[in-house]
Amino acid sequence: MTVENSMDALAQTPLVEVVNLRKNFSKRRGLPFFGRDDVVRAVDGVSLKIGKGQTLGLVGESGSGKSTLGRVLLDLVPRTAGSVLFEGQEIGGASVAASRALRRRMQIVFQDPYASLNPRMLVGESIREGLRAGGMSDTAQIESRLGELVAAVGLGPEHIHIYPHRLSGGQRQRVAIARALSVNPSFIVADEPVSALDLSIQAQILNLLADLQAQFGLTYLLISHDLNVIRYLADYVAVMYRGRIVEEAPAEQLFADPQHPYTQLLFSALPKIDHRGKRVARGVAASEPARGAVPEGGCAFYPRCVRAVPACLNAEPVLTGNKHRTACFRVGEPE
Amino acid sequence: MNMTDNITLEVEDLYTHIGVQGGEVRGVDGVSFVIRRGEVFGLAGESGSGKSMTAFSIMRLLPLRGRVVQGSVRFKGEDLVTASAERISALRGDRVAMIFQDPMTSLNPVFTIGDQIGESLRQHRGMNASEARVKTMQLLESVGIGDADRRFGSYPHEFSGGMRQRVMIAMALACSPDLLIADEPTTALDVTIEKQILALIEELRADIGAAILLITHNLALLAEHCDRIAVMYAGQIVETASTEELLSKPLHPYTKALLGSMPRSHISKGRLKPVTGLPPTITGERRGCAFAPRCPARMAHCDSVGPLILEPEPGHQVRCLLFGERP
Amino acid sequence: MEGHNFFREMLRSRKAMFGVCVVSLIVLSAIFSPWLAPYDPGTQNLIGRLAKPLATTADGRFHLLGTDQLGRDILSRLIYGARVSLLVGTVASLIAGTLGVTLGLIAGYFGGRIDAMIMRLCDVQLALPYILIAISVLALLGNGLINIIIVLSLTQWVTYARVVRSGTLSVKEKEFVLAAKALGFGSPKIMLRYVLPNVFAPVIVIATFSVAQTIIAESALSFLGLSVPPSIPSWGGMLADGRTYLVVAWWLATLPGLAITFTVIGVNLFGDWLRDHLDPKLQV
Repeated sequence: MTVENSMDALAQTPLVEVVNLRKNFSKRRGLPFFGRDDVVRAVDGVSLKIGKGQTLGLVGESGSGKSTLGRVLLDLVPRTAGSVLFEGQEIGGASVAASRALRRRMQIVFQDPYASLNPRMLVGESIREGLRAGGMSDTAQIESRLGELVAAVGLGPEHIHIYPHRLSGGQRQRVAIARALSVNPSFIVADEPVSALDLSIQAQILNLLADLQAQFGLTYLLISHDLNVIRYLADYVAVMYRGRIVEEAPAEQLFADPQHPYTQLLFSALPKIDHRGKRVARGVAASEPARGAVPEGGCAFYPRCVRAVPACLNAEPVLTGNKHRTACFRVGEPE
Repeated sequence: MNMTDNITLEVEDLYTHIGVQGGEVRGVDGVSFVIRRGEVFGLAGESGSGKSMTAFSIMRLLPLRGRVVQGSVRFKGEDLVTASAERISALRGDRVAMIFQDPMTSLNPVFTIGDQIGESLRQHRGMNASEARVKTMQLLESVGIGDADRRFGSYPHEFSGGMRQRVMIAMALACSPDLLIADEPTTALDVTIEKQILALIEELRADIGAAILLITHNLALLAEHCDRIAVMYAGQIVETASTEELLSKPLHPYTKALLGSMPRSHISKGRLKPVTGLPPTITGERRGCAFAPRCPARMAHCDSVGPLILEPEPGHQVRCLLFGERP
Repeated sequence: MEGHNFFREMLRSRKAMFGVCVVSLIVLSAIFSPWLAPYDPGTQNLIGRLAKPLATTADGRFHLLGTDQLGRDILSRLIYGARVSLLVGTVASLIAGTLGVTLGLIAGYFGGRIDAMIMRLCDVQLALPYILIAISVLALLGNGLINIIIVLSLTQWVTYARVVRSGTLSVKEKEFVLAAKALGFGSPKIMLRYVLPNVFAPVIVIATFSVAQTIIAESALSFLGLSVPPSIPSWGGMLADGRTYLVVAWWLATLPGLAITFTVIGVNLFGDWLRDHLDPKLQV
């Protein structure tokens, strides 16, 4: 999908929109009545728009909050603040039944294929659950649709009447995808869908995701720490650091010209196979900051930033720009 | 100077079997390779390829049901397979060290890191507590853990993943070993931390002149850090070559398939060429080439004739019938 | 496929087979008591009182295990006594299990205040020795089989609850539970179909130990005279009766004691083996 198309898609009502989403985790420290609460802002005011048929790639490392964002988006984890809109409608607002129906339009595929299927449920049953949830009750209809879904993800009828532990990681991931598809969703959050798989299987699953998107007109939020994976599927990319989006742009632009120092760091840290044995000096960045060293009120990336100046501590940077947006005071300035 | 003085590790015809319900799995099925002094040797492969088993076989750290059934592992001329248990204990941690994948579980949670690093020193170098402390502080500094004084008495759970891996490296390098085996050392870490850890390993290696056996499924990582790479599949090495050669002129169909199936950040939305099917576990008799069922270049007799290792070009070995049947 | 392996493993293990044999023996005794017992357990025969095991009384009755102070055949009383022990053991464990598992599931799944309340209930329960509870409740409700069962289930439920709660806590965060939520399922369905089957394995193991404990507890209560009325033979009651005769007729107390011991050992061994073979495989 070209940049222009993706922009057109955004011009209409985005399929999924997130406005100023926040999720805090608090951990009680100290004695039961006298301790304080340590608050971790896993998602710290994130706003995103995802157009129909698009893939938004969300890049971040551990601690960035990207997985939490995916789960909060689907209301699997209650949010602290902000809104989540599906086709313009707030998903949490409506009645319980209505919101459940709405939530079925948004599904998720998880990273760990070993934990994402009920080990005590036959594979076919896991998928049938989805079909029944979607309202199907006729047994014949269910079986036939089950067969279609299983075939669509590249599995065969021999995989239906067995337990998940007999399948390999890649096969389980296919089952997880089939289950997600069983309720006819429009939107799927793929949370590190291939990270736990072998290299040769990763390619199979990525191809499958691409094919299904084309076949069913799906919209994806692809969460990954792996820039290569993002590159393969994403139209638009957002980079997340410590709960905030620090850069977002159409994929080609981000990969051609990363602007935020953190994005640049991610790119430079990527081992490049095309360097063919030449030991490319990857430029050592500052090591991880100790906990608590992140300054209040200033830019969260300050401790690790090679372009930081004292002024960066004065305020939190916000996303600025047009199609390619970056949250950095130093963007555009000389080194 | 004799050529063999230069060789730190020579693995020859190594076979390791693991007992499972109903038989044995051939985890390592005839593996041979050589690591020279100061060399960084990469062992690539997916899960089930036998790369970790190979490392455990070298270190004699196999699980209860695993045993080396054949072959030799010569560390500076001395065969580790037949060495006594005391000799192995003496060598482990001192001349041959290993770091593991998951820093969360590789460190003992009830001892301070100063204690754990110092243990090697006390055991192998006979240092007393204060000597060990001094050396440990130096090690902590050298692996980039600042504030060593305070960190000395800290417990593993107070560290992040990257820091713990640094501690592991400090432990491994405490006695300046000749060989460092790193089994997926950065797989559990973020890519920015990974970069630092590998830079650290390389720096320290240069300081003490150790050889490194780097095991990982991440081909890109091996590309950047290794001098030579061996690719493993189903317990066997299918191709060995210098990094340059392997990446520019891969010979084995599996190697080619792996390289072709990797999403690369500079290639946009093309179609990946995945390897179809699943990697096998080897039980019972091996008949023919293990990769044949998935091989795009498969020929008629690949299912019945097991390929031997050939060397079509100097320094570049491959196990595939495409290159002939006899060495 | 998994079932076949399971039974084969069981047949192979001496531990398990011992346990299974003992338990089967007890169960069969309990079910077929009228046919197995050589004499009526309640018939008194003062002529043949305190007969040694393997003795024949003056009026020509052979007693394999001797007679008690009222001339009643000990073997028959043991066989019939199995009924009480078994009934109380299994039913009390069943009730305790159902109660405990339910509360544990709810506590673990919903967390927060509900969890805290249920946990405090557990704490209170555990703080009181079961004998005290038993005596108090029985004083209130009176003796009787049903009351005993109620009392003993009250003492057993806590272990189930805590184990299930801890299992629930870890399972409910697993991705397949989240996936079920994403499919729009409500809490009851998720708890029953997704969480429960995955935390249930340890419950089976607890149940076997629980049965053993309950049998001992019932015997203790019998001993104290708080259990079934003395006309119904029970091992604990036999123990109590036999106490005074320990020096002159050791078999009165020793044999029921052995019966209790073997039953408990058998059940425990089986539970031991079950734990070794169920837990790792079914661990989520």
